[in-house]
Amino acid sequence: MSDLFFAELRRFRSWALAAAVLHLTVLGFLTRMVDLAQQPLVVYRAFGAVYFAIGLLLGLYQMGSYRRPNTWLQLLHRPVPPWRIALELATACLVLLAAAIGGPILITAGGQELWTARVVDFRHFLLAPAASLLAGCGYLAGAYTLLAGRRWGILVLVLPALLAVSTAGGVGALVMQLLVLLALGGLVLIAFEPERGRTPRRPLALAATALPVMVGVLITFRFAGFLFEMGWILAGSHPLNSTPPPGGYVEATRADGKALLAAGIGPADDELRRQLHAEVRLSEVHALGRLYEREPRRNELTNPAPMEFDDAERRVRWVFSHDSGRFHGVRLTDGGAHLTDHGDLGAGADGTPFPTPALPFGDGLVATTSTVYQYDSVSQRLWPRLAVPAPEVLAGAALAPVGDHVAVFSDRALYFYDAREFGLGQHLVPARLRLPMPGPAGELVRIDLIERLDGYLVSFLYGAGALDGRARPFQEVVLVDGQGAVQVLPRRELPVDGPAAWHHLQFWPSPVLNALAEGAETLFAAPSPLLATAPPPRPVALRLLALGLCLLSLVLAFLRSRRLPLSPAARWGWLAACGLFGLPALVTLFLLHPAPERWAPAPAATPALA
Amino acid sequence: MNPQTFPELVIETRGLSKHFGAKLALDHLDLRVPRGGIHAIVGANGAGKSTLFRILLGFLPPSAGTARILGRDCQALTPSDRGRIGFVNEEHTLPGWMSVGAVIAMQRRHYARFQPAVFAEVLGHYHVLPEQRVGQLSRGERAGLNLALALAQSPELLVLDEPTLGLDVVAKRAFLESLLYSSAVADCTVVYCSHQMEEIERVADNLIILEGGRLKNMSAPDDFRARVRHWVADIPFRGPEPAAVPGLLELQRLDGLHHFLVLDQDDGFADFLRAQGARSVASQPVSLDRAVNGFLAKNHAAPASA
Amino acid sequence: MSRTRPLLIQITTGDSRSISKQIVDAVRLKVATGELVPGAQLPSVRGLAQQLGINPNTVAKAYGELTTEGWLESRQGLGLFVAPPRQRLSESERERRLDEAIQRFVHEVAALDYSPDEALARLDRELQVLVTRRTA
Repeated sequence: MSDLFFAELRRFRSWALAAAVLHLTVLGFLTRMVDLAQQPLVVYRAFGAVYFAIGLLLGLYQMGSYRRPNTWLQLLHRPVPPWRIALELATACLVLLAAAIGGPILITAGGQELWTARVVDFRHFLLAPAASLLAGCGYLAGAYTLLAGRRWGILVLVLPALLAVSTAGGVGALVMQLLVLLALGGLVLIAFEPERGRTPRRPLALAATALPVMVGVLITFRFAGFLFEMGWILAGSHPLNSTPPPGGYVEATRADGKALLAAGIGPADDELRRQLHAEVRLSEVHALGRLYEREPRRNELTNPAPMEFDDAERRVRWVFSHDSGRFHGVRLTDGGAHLTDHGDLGAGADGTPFPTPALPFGDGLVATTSTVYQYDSVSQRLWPRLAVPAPEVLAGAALAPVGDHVAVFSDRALYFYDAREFGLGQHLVPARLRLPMPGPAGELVRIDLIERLDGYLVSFLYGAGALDGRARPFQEVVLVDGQGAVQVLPRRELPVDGPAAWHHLQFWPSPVLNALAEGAETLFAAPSPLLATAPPPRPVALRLLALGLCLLSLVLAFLRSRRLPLSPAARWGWLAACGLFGLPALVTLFLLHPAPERWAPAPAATPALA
Repeated sequence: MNPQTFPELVIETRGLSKHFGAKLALDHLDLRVPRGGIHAIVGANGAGKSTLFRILLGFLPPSAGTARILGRDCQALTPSDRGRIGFVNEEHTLPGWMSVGAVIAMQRRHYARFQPAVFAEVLGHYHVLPEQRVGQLSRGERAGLNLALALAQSPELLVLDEPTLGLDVVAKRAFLESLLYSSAVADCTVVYCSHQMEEIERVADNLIILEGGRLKNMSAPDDFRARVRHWVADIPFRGPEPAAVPGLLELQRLDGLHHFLVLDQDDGFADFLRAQGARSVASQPVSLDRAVNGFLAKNHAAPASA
Repeated sequence: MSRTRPLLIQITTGDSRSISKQIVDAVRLKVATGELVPGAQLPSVRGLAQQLGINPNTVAKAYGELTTEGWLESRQGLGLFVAPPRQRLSESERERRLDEAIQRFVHEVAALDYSPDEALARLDRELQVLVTRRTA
């Protein structure tokens, strides 16, 4: 019994074919202009959003056509379980989406692999299922919003929104997409009932519907807070709008290097500080930036940035291949479209594969997680020049020499290398100075430094995530002399501007749900030392507030549930949910179980004329 | 009407009410339709017929009361129950992108008791080819296809919601013939909703009148017609107040004569008219069309007078 | 070898008489005028229903009434046949119906401005035709 499946395939096949042809044309056109395999992350995100939107439109159109009362009746009034009908219709659309969206991507990637010298890795072929899954999620989300009750259907979009914030990469990202697809599919099957928009009755179906709705309520709550803050900023009266409070975290993030260093040194009470203040006034301040939020990994679907660099003299473009672990050279002889092979480029003299993906940055520099390599056009080799000891992970580098040194920092320490040595030769330069980092890498905001006559004065600012209550900001200023002796000035703790309740907005409305949502965001994501944080405990007052809100929700849910026709299982379930999840669960209870129809039956009808 | 007097009820509602916001679509409806025969449901637009059908098929929840169809609670219909109930709506919504042959093949697989012979018999009235797409069929052909499919499912209960709406005379005739003489309907109870009094007179065993969401009549069409009578009286001057006339459905004053359409009045009505000063009195039976329309018009005019 | 006599009758919807009553009247008239002779077989319920485009139950009801009144008789497994003439109605019923018919006739004729003699002569002639047809 797959008639509905085939009928639906037939229904949309010409649309799917047209979409596939258009899609292939667009991709084909773009490959003439750029290398689609080497685009920054934002481009892939934009593509993903378009695929999702296409799926969403299909879902809205299809269910919009079926939900007219008579059509709906005709479709569902048959001796076939509704979930089966839904399964057939949805599967047909998913197949068509896979064909129209995944197909052209596969063809394009295959064509690039076969007929051009461009680097196409296995991970690029994975983009086809990823795009199809995204479109499928869009389709199911669109279908669900039309099938489910008006009061909560739209909130379930929180499930696909999870994909936008998920930190899973590579196959993990695919698994994540598949999970979201299955969850949305399950919800569609649950919602596919003759009486559209009815609150599910079976306990499991009810729980499966209620959970994403709860998270949706929580996100909506946050989004409302965000909109409120945006409005505040637009209105121009936001306290952090113009001049932030002095001595606070926000001021530190915005201050220029000199002011920040001066603030970190503190009052000029003693000789050393007076001298440091004078040096700061006279010196050029250098800022060290991060290379990436976290290091690239093998077989990730996307890159933080294009993994290629050009050898302008030899007219060769080197593109990193995740599959071979080497750079692959293509000659830019006749313009970008006609590329010819130029061999491979590995690490060092013998060109061994790079142990981790090598991200080009700066002028002929390439970074792996431990080493900075420098390209030599003459020998056409990538020579290892600067390295951090294992298991540290390279996090950032100064692009230009800082005085007599070049600086590189890992998740644990800041290293200085002799700039002249680095400028000459092709050998590995040993680190001259090592400065341990005073905080967890994931919280680092900025590093500012000046060169002294003998050594450096370095300011570390920590506190990324402080505005969400996830870090305790501080500034630490460190002196290091030419022999590597380190002197740490007193740490400056920075208050987070604004009320704590505001910064912990993610926390107190529902600590448990927040933990669940955060867990979902990092599901299947490999941990990175660069993301390490040490969040401070939540303020006691807010913990108590959260507890109070949970209790309040429990009481309100209890009062509410007495007026609702709930089964004992549902009633206890709701009470447990409200006690555990707090306000979002309570709001969800109101959304899923509106007040019973208030309608006083008229006195028994006069038997009229009958 | 004691339910025990019927061997089985195909439709049974008790105190069934449905309201949409402030609007009351069904008002304590107690409807009991026995098995067998053709039951016509008549009512003005908005009398609650479509709402009733949607509740009966489990597509709408009742606001109050209960509804059962083929003995099953309408809120708990199983797929196999649905296989025993045919439904044809006035739009004859069939997937327009499917070919006729594909629709037939699908129905055959979905309905275990599908009878190809019945299907062929009914569809024989129409010129429909299997390779045609449903969207290309005329309204009449689509109606025929829909009815043929519904009848071939061998339903125990066939619900038809204004099936002949917008059909031409030929298609309507073919449709009614299919409904009346197809061998499939022998064991089938038909509930038929229509505004066409002529059709009802020809096909209905039982006339159900719904008005304002309530049951107003349930009897053979002839019995209902016999309840309504047309009286003409020559009453000088104003005549009686309409409110004072017993069972009045309609009052007209034409050329100085009073025309009364009255319900459930025996010959005593003549005495009433004479007491009102009538110089001459005459009466005649009326057609079903007139009886039903007079009945519905009356309730239109004064809904709260009951 | 169908011995079924065609039953050529018309019914109209929207009439003040029910369809079943129209069938009863038509059959009665055809028997009375000798168009249907005793022993003639009538169309089946289904056949007549289909011929007239109406619900078979309506035909069955009309046939039932005609059978009860003695106009038709049913022979087991064979069908319905026109019954041999006999007293089909009770004395008082006959009396009542005659009264009713005469009243109707008088009402109609009164307006036509014929003298009673003229009217009676015409009536007599029509009744004579009925008698001759029936005995024929």
